[in-house]
Amino acid sequence: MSVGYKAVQWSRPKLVYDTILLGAVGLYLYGFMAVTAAMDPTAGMHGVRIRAYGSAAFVLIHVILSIGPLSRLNPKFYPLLFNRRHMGVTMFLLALIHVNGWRWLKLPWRWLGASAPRWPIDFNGALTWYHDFGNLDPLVSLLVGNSHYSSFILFPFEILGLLALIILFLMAATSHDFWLANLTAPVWKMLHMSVYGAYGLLVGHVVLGALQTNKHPLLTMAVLLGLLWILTIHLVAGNREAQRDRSNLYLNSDEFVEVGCVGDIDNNRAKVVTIAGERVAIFRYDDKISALSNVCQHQNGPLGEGKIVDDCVTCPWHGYQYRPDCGSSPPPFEEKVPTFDVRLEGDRIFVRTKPNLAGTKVTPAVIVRSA
Amino acid sequence: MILSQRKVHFWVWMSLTGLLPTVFLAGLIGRPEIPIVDKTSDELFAVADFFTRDTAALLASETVNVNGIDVQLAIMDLGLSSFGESVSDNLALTVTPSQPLSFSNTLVYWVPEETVPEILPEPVGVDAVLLGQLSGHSRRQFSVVPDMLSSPGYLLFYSHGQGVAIAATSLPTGELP
Repeated sequence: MSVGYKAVQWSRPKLVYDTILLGAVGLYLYGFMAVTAAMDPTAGMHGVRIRAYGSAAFVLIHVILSIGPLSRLNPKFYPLLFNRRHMGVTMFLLALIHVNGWRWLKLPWRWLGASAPRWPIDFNGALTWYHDFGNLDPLVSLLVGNSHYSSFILFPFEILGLLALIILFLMAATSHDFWLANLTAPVWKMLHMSVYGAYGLLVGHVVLGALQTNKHPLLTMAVLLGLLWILTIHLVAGNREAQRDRSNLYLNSDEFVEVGCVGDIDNNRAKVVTIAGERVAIFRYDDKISALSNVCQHQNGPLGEGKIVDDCVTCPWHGYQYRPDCGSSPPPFEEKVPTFDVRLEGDRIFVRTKPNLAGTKVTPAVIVRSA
Repeated sequence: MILSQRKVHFWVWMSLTGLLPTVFLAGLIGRPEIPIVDKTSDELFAVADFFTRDTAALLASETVNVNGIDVQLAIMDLGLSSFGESVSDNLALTVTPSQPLSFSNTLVYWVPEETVPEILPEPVGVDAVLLGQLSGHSRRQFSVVPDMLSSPGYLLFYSHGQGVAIAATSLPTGELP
């Protein structure tokens, strides 16, 4: 939804969001290292830094995975959602630094055949810092060093972390709207749902790795509480959505079906119903009623949870806009969503179950006020 | 989300709810105790180049500075007169840092050169002989290759993880065979 191509469309809210995000990450890293150094002055700081970055990534994936279900449970969390992708990329970078340190910063020197300065970029990640297999390449020894694949407790937890990192890389690399537009929203969304698999792998990585050697009850409790929190909110939100989908009464019908009364819908807001398996947002505005697909073309966000702003239906996720009577974005934008025929019988709203093609103009039903 | 994705989401999280707490509990229950070091561990220590022999005779010793840390080098006679054909087979180089070297995957090489270089070689030359690996501050025992007794050369401490040469030093001098 842009006039000219820009790599990142910065806006004040995005800058504020990113500043808070990076500030919080920096504070966490500093706090982790400072507290550890104060509690155990003999601790090797290189190892502490590796744990700081790893735990920061693990905490951040909990935050990221919390935002979606919290937004579904309470619209107050929508502001956290609109720039979640930057949070995801930050999490991937933290995980990468945990694995490989700052070695990638040395590449320009290496390409020039020179030695990189040791400070401040001489920080090795877990891949090389804990490598103990002579002159074997650390990545090779990671893959062949532990072959206890048939044992649960001795399973090479590093492999779980590596697989999660590959998934996170794919997500970070395709996080830009360029990929969203070219892969199409359903494919892109499905690809990015693989973060759930990455989370499962990371829990395995932590349980079979850090928790095996660090038996501090605080660490065990923190991992357990994080796990229970994520599972609970996803189950609660998922169950709520499943219940709404089960209320679909209009499957295999091509007729107008009653979806409720005008009084059910606040002005400039919508009521969402499930028709023929998909959700439809029925908007009330300027004494008119229009119905659109509930699925935003950008990231498949819930249009019916947005509101009418500047005469346009505005997606609550990222602010994409559509005219309520035709489902098209205002010029010069080109996004379109399907529309539905609507009619009123007194106060009762009827919607045709078969959608029109995306962008088809439909005459809104006019609310006639009784004298 | 569209309906198919909502269904995927629901079933993925149902599956994870069954799987992840099981992994967590099994991981806690199966957590191994720290094994106690006893005589049966000697073989493992020997494989990892730890010095476990207490009857060896010291032939030469010197403390050198490696990146600001004192490291004691020693040539030991293992007293294995019937072992091997070469004199060097009975000798061992032991390396004992006073504190861990703060480098990733530190390897010790023998480099056959006339003099100890002022500018350290990066990467390690093809004629360098890998003696073993150094980590922590336990005493490590490395083989003495025949060239170390008959030809000039120096020991090179090289961080394989970071790809940097740390220090170079000559062998300790003493009554070597």
